[in-house]
Amino acid sequence: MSVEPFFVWLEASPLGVFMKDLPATFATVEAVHLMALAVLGGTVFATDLRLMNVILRDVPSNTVSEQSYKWFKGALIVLLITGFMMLAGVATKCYGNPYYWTKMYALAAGIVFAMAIKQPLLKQDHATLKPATRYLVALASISIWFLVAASGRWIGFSG
Amino acid sequence: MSIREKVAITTAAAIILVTVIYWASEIKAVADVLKQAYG
Repeated sequence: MSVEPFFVWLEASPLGVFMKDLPATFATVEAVHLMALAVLGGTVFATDLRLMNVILRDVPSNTVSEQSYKWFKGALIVLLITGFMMLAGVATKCYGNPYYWTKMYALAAGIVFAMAIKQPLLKQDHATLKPATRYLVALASISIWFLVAASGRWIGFSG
Repeated sequence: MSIREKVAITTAAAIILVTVIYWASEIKAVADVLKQAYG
């Protein structure tokens, strides 16, 4: 079953028209999207570089990940809302763009990894985790979110 | 090592492998374009 009709419908919907036809609307929403991405990236780097023992060594790793995760969830919600609004304005263009789909698959993998794998693991005392586990989980997290950000920017320069 | 830790290691390794393969293919595509233009 193709999802193309949904993309066509979305672009023609009132939200799609609102995003496409009003001057500066897309740019304003994109600015909020990028700011939320910066917050999300900040929380990812803070948690992951602390797990790797690169930054914030004087703060317990558990504290950094607990505090960061609250902001991570908030930033993710803003990203999903603003991302959907931006998609509405250029839905048919995105449908045919391979980098859009790369971003969506990477985003899905990033959310599942962060919420179902990484966060449950980091709830326990980090001292009980092997250093290699901490390093590998942090590296995977940075890799997947970097792919989400890079492919997201790539959408604008392709198709 | 707990099962949760083993699952995390396996998933993390898979993610790193897939992203490395993805970027390698993208870099190869860029290299092919450059080779065609200047090679």
